[in-house]
Amino acid sequence: MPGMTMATSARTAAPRFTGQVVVVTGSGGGIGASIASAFAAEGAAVAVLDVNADNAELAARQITAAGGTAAAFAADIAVGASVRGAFDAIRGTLGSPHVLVNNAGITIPAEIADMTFDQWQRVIAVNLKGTFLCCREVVPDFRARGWGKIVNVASMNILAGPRGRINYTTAKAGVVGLTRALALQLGPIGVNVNAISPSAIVTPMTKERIGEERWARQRDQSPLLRCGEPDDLAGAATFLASEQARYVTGQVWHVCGGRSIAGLMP
Amino acid sequence: MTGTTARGLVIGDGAGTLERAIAGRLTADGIVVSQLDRRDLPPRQWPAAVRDLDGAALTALVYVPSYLAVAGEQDEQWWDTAIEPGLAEFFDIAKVAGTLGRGASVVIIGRAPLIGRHQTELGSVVAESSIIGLGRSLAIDVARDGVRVNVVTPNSDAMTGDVPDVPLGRQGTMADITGVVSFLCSPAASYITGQCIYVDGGRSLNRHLF
Repeated sequence: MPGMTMATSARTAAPRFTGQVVVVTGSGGGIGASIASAFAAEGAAVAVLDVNADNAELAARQITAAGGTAAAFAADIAVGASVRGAFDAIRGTLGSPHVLVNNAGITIPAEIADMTFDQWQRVIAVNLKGTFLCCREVVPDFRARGWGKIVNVASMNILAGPRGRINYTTAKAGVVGLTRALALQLGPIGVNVNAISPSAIVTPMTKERIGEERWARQRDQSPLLRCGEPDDLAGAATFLASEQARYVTGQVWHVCGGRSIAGLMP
Repeated sequence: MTGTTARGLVIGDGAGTLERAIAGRLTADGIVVSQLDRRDLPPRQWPAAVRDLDGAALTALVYVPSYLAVAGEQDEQWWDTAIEPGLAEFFDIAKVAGTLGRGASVVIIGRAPLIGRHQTELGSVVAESSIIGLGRSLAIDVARDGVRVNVVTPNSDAMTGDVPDVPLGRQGTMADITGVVSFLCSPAASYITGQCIYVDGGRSLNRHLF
């Protein structure tokens, strides 16, 4: 029964992250929470890091209720001192990080004429500078251990997105540059740095905002004929953080249901 | 445009070699070119200054970012001094682009990272990548105003480096760059927007955008 053998082996495959500390930023909900749960399900001790302490607590409790190991940490990743404090707390509670998933991000859409400098700067600060600050924080841990994995979350907006996203798209394109530059810098000390680039994903945050009409278009533009859901990203994120992907670095994976090869109307 | 004089503006370092070469080429194309020097006027004041110049009548806007390369430990202070000001300038140039009128062409000069050689050039790699994102998203935002935005990316390696690394077998020249800028600012390029064009003799053939 070859079919049954395959199904069984998929279910009983050895957990890939036992004994590892995995930090997932922005994991108090949505995509981040899904990625955090996926790592925890494969044995990782997960640091649920979020700007919202209550959300972080809730997501961490959901993981522990499911039998996993997780602890909640609050930080504004755009602020160096806040990041430093959170990572010190993570080391103290769970141990030195092995994997960092930079998922935290915000959007503040505005047409060019209406966009304020604060709206520009905040989006750049969280999405790009925040990613940089968190990466920087784990380098000493990775260097001491001789290996480590970073997975950044970019956005398919870097290919084409809706109007009114110059702050977000510029920041996410910068994340791609950061991914490549860090892959070059950290490769020699055994660190893989990659990015996943999702299309719009149905989360509590995006469901209402994007609206029924645009979701329908998203679905129609995907060769798979469905919209992306948070769990769709967790598979790519865990794979890139695993030993199976040990020879993959500096890459950007579009996890978009094939939309990047299909109709990409702004 | 018959009967009116085409006007262009080059924003960057007033004394920059590339800025002057671009201004010279556009002038030769019959465009009346002004230069705006970032040392004379802080970026935050560019949108107002361009409005005062009757920006809506500009047909060509060329922006040469500074691409600060600051050595030192890559900490938060380094980010705030080496990276942040360059990114903040992108906002101001976007605001300027938002004031342009139908038919205008915006050309942003990109920069190819020296991948594989200068592994510590993290800042310029981030800026180079960000500017492609800015070019694409800005192109989307101003398209319905009839404004085009493209990025032209020279490769300093190909301008000065070993010829064997360049498929075309010679170093690039200023004229190679300014010729593409001139084309993108001309009516012949009226259906090209949101593109990043590498002008590097093929040096970048081993890399993809995103």
